[in-house]
Amino acid sequence: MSTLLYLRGRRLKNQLKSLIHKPARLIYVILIAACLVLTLVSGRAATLPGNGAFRDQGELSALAAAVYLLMFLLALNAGFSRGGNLFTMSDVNLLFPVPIRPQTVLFHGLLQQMAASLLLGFFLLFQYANLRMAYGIFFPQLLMLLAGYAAATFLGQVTAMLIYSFTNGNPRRQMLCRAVLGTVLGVLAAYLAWRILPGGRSEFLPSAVEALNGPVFRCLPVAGWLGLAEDGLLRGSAPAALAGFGLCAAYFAVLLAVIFRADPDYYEDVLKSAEIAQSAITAKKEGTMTEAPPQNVRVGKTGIRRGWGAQVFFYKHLLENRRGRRFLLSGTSLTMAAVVIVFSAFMHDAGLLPTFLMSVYLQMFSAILGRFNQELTRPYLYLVPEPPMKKMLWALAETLPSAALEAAVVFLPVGAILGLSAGLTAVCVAARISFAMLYTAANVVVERLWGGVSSRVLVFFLFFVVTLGLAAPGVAVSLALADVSSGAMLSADALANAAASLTALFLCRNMLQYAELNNQ
Amino acid sequence: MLRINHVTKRYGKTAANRDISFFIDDGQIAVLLGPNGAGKSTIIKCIAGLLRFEGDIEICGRPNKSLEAKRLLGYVPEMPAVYDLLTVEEHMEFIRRAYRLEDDGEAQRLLERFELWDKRDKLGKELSKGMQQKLSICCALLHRPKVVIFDEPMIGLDPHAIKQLKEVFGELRDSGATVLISTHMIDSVENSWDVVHIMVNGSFAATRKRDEAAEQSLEELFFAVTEGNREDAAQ
Repeated sequence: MSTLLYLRGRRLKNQLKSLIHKPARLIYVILIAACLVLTLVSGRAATLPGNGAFRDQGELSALAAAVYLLMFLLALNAGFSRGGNLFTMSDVNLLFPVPIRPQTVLFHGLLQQMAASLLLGFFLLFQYANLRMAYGIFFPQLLMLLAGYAAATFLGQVTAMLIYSFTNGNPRRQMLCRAVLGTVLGVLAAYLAWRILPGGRSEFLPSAVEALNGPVFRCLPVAGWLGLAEDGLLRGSAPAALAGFGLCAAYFAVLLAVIFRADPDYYEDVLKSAEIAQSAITAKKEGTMTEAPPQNVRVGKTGIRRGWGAQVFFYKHLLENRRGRRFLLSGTSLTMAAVVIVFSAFMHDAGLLPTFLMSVYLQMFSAILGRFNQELTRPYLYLVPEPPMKKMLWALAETLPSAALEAAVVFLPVGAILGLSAGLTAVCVAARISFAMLYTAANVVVERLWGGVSSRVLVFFLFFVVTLGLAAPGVAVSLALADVSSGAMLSADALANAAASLTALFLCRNMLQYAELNNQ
Repeated sequence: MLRINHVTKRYGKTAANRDISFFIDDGQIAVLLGPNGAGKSTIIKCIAGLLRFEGDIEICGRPNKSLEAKRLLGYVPEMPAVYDLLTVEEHMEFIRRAYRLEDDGEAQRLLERFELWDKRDKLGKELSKGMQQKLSICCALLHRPKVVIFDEPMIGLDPHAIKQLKEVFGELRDSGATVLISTHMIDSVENSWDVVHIMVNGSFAATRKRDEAAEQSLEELFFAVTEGNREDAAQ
């Protein structure tokens, strides 16, 4: 145990020391801390609606339960292919061979995962001001929402590990588990549809809240129980909170008992996941962050068949997209689309703007995973004897059809939920495409100007700043037209974004001529 | 022909290459040796046009970043550069189309030579590290470059591939191409080198032509320079 304590203490100490040696990271941490303090202060100072006219807190517990379910399912899904994400590759190589009891090592992994789950939910804290104004919650209640989020992710990971150890190398068991999970989700979806849809658009939100806070959803392991606990905490019902958290604790105890009884030799069950995590870490360090290719790729028709010179990058990307995605869009894009659609249902009364902002905010993360970024880390884009501007445009071309499809997938349902006209929906689609161009251009600018910067944190920060700079003209024009109509505002924003992006791309046209590929 | 003229490459305050100049003629094989961190990969990446640098690099008389120079250059990176979602054969098709080459069967010949033809429908992500390296080599040779630079090309290769690669070095020389090889596996280039450059701390510590080295083997030469250097530093 002392070895593990030493390891934990040393890692923490070195992490803190690295802040001194890497000023970019220190600045990032200070900025994050400053933003958090600002959020907390502004939340406290926020003008609250009079006469306690907050929104129903039931909405918040329903939303929390839905998010917990999503996080739990995402972790669970990994269980079928790669097991729990409890250990790093250094643990596998250095800790597993050491003569320490596997149970002790597992405890170390669980602690590590618990900390990671908490960090994962850190972004929730930035919602304090919004949630305080909308639902009147206090900071301790927000902390409990964060704890619920971390618990859902953590329990999902442990369950994933158990599923993997049960199904690993046994397709029949894997099929059985998938069938059970699929049936449960199908029944749940049918139940929610039955509860929500008959009320029509006007009753969508109350029906959804009622269904997600109803007894059937509450029976759902982890997400339902955590929803119950959060509801209890928000409404001041100690028995409900205790029951929810108690059920989760009991579930965790059962999982641990089953893991140790069934398979104390769990090392193999976490190996695959550690390897995948290691590749992700390496990719992140090298700036090659991209959507991981699926475990089993359907190769289909072979051959690129089209494209000559720089054009071939575009057709190669289309081929890679076909093989890399189970659906027309990537998993990340579909998840983000689902989040925006659910968000629009909850923010129905607030109009189009919050949903649009949410959609372009989340779009930033799928833009970072584009094929162009991956291409920049391979030598071919630089070596191919074609003019740099031509290569850049063809290598970026794939983002446009993907962005258009993604925008349509998001805004067709959102338009229906918010009751937008066909024209306004089309404008939303166009504006979202313009943001895809904006993010792509920001990416190119950062690579062109700071391609040699090796700190990924600093690169992300620069990307954020450049994005704000490129978006500024659009925001200014939109604000000027704010009183006219949403359509005019978004159309002007789309035009300004497109103009800013094209200008930025033109100015960076020689980027591939003066590469700084220092990661290979 | 490859000419490197006063090339310096800095990462912030650290100079990875300091004022490096050398020349490799047509039909010559130059070997770049040096301990880890000596700056070998950096100069190779500068030649390939992947890094910004101070100084001049010419490939067959053209600046290395010009399209003409790119057409004449073949580059085998240290880490195999393959695409996860393309098959082996599609990698070759991709390079052929990117370099605007007609299909004259060269892709198949190279894949057969490096025992990859039977793996032509395998995806990049399904290949072992050694197979990825072989594919990377095939991609670099497909357009019949006049100047070829290899960065640690032997790593991960099986004995058959090493034998093939050594033969490729000889064939490239015989065809009048310029070859630059950076490697730690001194044995693998013992019989093929014409000139050797030994790098230490970002600069050339020694340059020897084969006829100047007399009876001294490449390994002896390497240790004489690098360990002699260390002793000098210690004194």
